[in-house]
This record gives sequence, structure tokens and C-alpha cells, in this order.
Amino acid sequence: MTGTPRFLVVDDERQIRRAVAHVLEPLSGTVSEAATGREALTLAAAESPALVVLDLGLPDMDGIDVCRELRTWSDTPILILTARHDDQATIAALDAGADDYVTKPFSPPALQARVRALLRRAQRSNGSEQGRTVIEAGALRIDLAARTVDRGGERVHLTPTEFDLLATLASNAGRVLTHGFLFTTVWKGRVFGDAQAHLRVHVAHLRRKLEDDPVRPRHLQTELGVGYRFVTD
Amino acid sequence: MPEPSPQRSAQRTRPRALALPAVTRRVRRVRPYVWPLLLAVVIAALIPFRERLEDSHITLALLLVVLVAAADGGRGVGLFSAALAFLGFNWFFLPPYGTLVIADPLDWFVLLAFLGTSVVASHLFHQVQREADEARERTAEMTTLATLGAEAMTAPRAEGALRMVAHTTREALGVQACRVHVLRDGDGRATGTLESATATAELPSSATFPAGEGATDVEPVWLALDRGARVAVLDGGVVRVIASEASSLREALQGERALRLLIPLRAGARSMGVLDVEDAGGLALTDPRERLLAALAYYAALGVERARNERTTERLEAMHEAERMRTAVLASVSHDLRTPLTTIKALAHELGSLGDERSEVIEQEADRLNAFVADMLDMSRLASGRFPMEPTIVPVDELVSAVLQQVEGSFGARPIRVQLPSDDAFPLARFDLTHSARILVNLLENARKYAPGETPVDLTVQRDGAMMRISVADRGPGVPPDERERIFDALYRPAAARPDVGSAGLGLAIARGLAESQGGTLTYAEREGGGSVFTLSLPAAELSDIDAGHGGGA
Repeated sequence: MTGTPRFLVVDDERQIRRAVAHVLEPLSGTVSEAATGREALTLAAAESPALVVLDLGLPDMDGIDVCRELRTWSDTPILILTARHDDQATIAALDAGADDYVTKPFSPPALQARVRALLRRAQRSNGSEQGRTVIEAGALRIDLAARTVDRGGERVHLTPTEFDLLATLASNAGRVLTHGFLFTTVWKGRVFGDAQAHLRVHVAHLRRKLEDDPVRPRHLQTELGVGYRFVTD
Repeated sequence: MPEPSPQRSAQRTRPRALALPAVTRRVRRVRPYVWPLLLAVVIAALIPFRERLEDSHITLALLLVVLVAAADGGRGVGLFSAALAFLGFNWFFLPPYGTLVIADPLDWFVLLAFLGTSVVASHLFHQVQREADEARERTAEMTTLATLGAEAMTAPRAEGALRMVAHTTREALGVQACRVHVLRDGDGRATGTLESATATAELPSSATFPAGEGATDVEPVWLALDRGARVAVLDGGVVRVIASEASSLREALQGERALRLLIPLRAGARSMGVLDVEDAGGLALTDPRERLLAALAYYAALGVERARNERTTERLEAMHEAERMRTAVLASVSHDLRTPLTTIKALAHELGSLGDERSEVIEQEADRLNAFVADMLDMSRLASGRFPMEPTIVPVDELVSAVLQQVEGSFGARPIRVQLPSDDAFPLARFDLTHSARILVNLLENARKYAPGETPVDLTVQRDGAMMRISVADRGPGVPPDERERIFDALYRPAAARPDVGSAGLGLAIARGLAESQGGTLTYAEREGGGSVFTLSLPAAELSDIDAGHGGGA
């Protein structure tokens, strides 16, 4: 990869591609544009972009399939553009390997923030921090090896399931994790009652134990209709 | 009697046994006057030999002719022949010849025996013949009905089935006109309209929709429909309703001549049509004909029922198609609007970064427009009753945090005070998280817009029996008593509202719709000390409910 990051923007609407490119310019990168899924995959293979912004409604192929295909040979962060009322497509794209999503019409600062967070995360996992066992977020210190959590220097008692859930979220900090992903990772597909309700109750418990104000969580954030996101800062 | 429609009679031989109402129709091979003639010939032939023949020979020969006459010509011809033979025998063969005087008392016996045998034989023949006729009539009836049933059920369209019923009924009864009236779109004269399939002598299988064409008087039709009773139009235009207890029309009419008969067609308790037969020459009513009429009415009812079902099906299909179109149009509109909105927002932001302060207004307006599109989409989905709802058990904390995450940006420094149940309980309720969050965001945004200055807004969660009550309270102006329900109407705007506040007034209507479609309620109350309290009530749940009915444990 060269010094300046290269972005790939995929959308069949030229105006949207231009708008996204304007938003990405201040991040001092160069922007390539693709109007179709095929074009996107070709460009992604040729240019190895640092990040892909992908619209789900493409004329030639499903955006979800673009995610899936891209993921077979690339770890580059994928940010999808979606419409409200289309949680199912968003979830499917995230499960197919996308990292985050923004609903149209997006606010430019929010898009910029998401892109920055994804780039940071990608840098971290490529760099020296890979394989680390301790995650720090605000007053929290999560030791993945020792399976302990400290909040402001004090040990917090978590149940094994609560710890697994926190560890999964924290090691994917910045990414949106869907309910389905969390079930299979934390509960390993074991059958139990209302899976989604279990997950929500566990998140609520974690918030009461870890957050300063549980109804205004700083770290364990809800993505309505989609899943959860762990925010480090 | 006019011929049936030519193409029909060419296609199949339709039974015509009942098409001649007044005369009992029989198959006749020989003219009736042939028999007395034959009798005279036989008598004349026997006269030369009368001295040599015994009485029994002569009587047998005459009896043979009488029986054949009775067999062929029926009772009348039989009896006439018997009388003629009796006189001829007496005159020509019983001495003294040429007189009706009988000398020998034994001859009296022969003569009477001859007469008795002739009469009894004629009667027997007549009986047999009548039974044969009846059997033939029944067969014809059965054939008519079977054909009608098959046609009524298989006619390509229900309208065709009704036409078929009208045509067949007219033919089977041999009347001038038959109509099948169907009640449309209502319960009776007040709300409904009539449509009719008509078959007349001039137009044997034509249909006319709607009813009341030409000179047809629809008044008796309505009478039959509304009363659910048979109606007869008598000579001189007298209309008579026949009580449903009266089983026989003929008895009910007591010999009066009916020109038109109307039989209500029933489905369950409702009359949904009328079978209407008319003949200016009068309708002859016999038991078999009444029976046939009742059976035809039954088939007409089947046809009418089919027509109604077909109409309902068509209407449902049209509704589905309209619904599909609407969804497609809305989805397309919302997509097509979002693309320019995205561009506008991005460009406005760019302008803002160049120092143009007006860009913020453009962004806000774009957001408002986007919210409006979302509202329209939601309203339409709520109206169609096809809102995707997924109520699950959710901690109320989660709802509150999701809502705060969305609105606190726009509240700025203005505080939202959250109060959860004071005891250490973990409040759970059953609801759709996304849509409930939308309701509360709406309530909080309203509070921010309508309540003045920096007054805090209170978000309170309380368990109240089987319900979880989540209320948003402000210190705004409140809502006048007469407007407290109207604020939940779509497109309602408070009279005192500033024109730049809020969107099209869909907010609270959508919020209530969303609340109710997940088993909750949304209500307004006056706040003590001034202001408004909006309360969203959702069905409360227990931790134990999560595993209930699923078997496994966490």
C-alpha cells in the first residue's frame, strides 16, 4: 500500500459517488469510482483500496454478493450505504463481511467519522497491536487472556457468558456485530429460549456493570434493528 | 310457441315435455276418428255371418278393436269406441235385429259384460299411459336440471351462468320471459342495486345488465328480495306476496291466474337474488311444474352465488394489485428522493466547510424532507395494515438508551431527565424495539419543539400491573381539552402551532398507529403544574418469559 490511502466508491448514481468522494477528500486519499458490482470487484482487485464504500442497490449484482466475493480474497474495510426500512439487507451485508453501514441520506461528518474509525481499526489489526490480549476503553481494561475486566482499577465480576459477549464486542471494536453473529460466536449456536431477548438482557446487564450511565452507554452501543457496536473512545 | 335459439337446438335435443303447458302431450300415430270407422267396418263385415257366429265371437272381435282404440287414442277414444261397439252389438247382433230391444235375458248379461270389459280396459290403458307420460316428464325434468346444473357451474364466467339459467328456465317452463336478478353491493332496496340476466322469446339467451331495462317493473323484484317471499303478479296488475308457510303456489293463488312469478334466491338467511318468470298468457301451475320451478330456483341461487363470489374474488385481486402497486411506487419514490437528498446534504456540508452559514439550513431542510418521506412511507404501511412488527422481549433500558442516542444531539444542553423504576427491578416488556424507539423519539422531539426554552423534559418508566408505562412529560403549553384526541389524527396541526414547527402532522398519528399495532397504547394527559404527558404503554414481561415455551435454558 502506498502512502496516501485509496478509496473505492461503488454506487450506480453518479451524484452519490461525487458526494461520497467530496466527503472522503479531506481524509487526504484518492478516490476511484465504480458504477457496477463487476467494475467494483475488478477495481478492488487492481487497486487494493484501503476502504470500500458500497451501495447495496447495484444494477448488475446484489451488493451483498459483492461483499461476499470481496471477502474471499480481501480484508479491506467495507462500509455500506443503505436505506432506512431495509434492516434485513443491512444485516445480510454485515453478515456477508461488511464492517459498518450508513443510511441514506447520510450526514457527511458521520460518514467521515465512520471511515476514520474503520481505517484506524484496519491499521491496528495490520500493525503491532495484532494479537494483543488487553483492550482498553475509557476506564475499562479488558484482559482477554486472564478473562478479567477492571473498571477504574476495580475488578468487575462478570458471568462467563457476559465476558464472552464483551470480549467478542471489544475485539471487534468499531464494527457493527449483528444479532446473528453474536449468537453464533458467544452462544455457539446452542439452542435456548428467545435468543434475541437473551442477548439484549445480557447487554443490559453489561451496561449496568460497566457504563457510568447505563441509559447513555459510551461503549456498548445499540444499532437499532441490526445489532451492537463496541466503541473504545 | 316460439322456437328456442336455433344454435342451441341444433347442438342438443333439449327436452320439450314441459314446453306445452295447457295440454297433456301424447304420442299419436293415428287420428282418433279412425277407430269408430274401423269399428263400423268390422261390424259391417260381421253382419253377413251373424247367424252363424256366436255372441262371444262377435264380442271378442269388437272388444279387440275397442282395446286397440283405447291403447292408441286414450281414454276418451276408448270409451267412445266402447259405447259405439255396445250400440252396434245390440242393434246388429242381438235379436231382434234392428232394434235396441233385448229378448233373451242372457243377452243382457253378455252386453253388460262387454260394456264393463271395454270400460275397465280403457281405464287401465289410460292409467298406464298417464304413468308413462309422467315418467317421461320426470326424465325430461331431470335432464333439464342436470344440464342446467352442469352449465351453471361450468359456464366460463358467472355472468354466463346466470344467462344460462335464465335461458334454460324459460325453455323448460315454456314461458315468454325469464330473468335472474342479482342484488349487488348492499342488503336491500335502500343500499343495493340490481343486475339482471334476461331470456325472452325475442332474445332467447341475451343478458342485460343492469336491471330495470325496458318495461320490466322492478317493484315486485324488490318486494320478493326484501320480504324473502314468493311474489305473484296477477291479472290486472294485482301483486300478491305469498307467505312462506304456503307450500303450494297453486293453493295459495286459489285458481287466480298469475302472469308473473318471482321466487327469492337465498344464501343462508339472506335473499341475494330473484328468479322472475313471466308469461302474458298466464302461468299454468301444476305440482310437477311447481317442483321444477323450485329446482330451477335452486340452480339460479347457485348461479347467483357464483356470480357474487366471482365479483368478490375480482375485487380482492384488484385490491391486492393496487396494494402491490402502492408499495412499489412508495419504495421507488422514497429511493428516488433519497438520492438527491444525499447529494444536497453533501453539497451543503461542503459549502459549510467553505464558511457559508446558510448551508446548515439546507442540511436541516433536507433532513426534514427526509423525515417527511419516512412519515409518508410509515403512514401508508400502517394504513395498509402491513407494517412489519417483531415484538420481542426487550429490556426497557435498551429502548431508553436507543432513544437518547438518537435525540440528545438535537437537545443540545437541554436536559432529558430519565427515571427508571426505583426498585432494583430489571424492567422488561414485549415490543418492537425499532418502532417503539420511533414513537419515543417522536414524542421527545415534539416536547423539544413545543415546550419553551431550556425547561427539562422527563422520561419516566413505570411498571403498572400488566403494562409498562413510558411517559414523556414537558412544561409546554399543553393541549386544550377539545383537541386532546384530535392531535392523534393524521394531518392534524394544533391551531396555535408555529408554521415552521414539525412536519405534516403525521407524527402522533403514526406514533399511535405504531403503538397499537404492537399491542400497546399511546395516550395524552394534562400534566400537573402545566404541560403535557404522553404515555406509551407496552405489555410488561418477566425474565421467566424469555425461556417460556422454548424448553432450553441460557
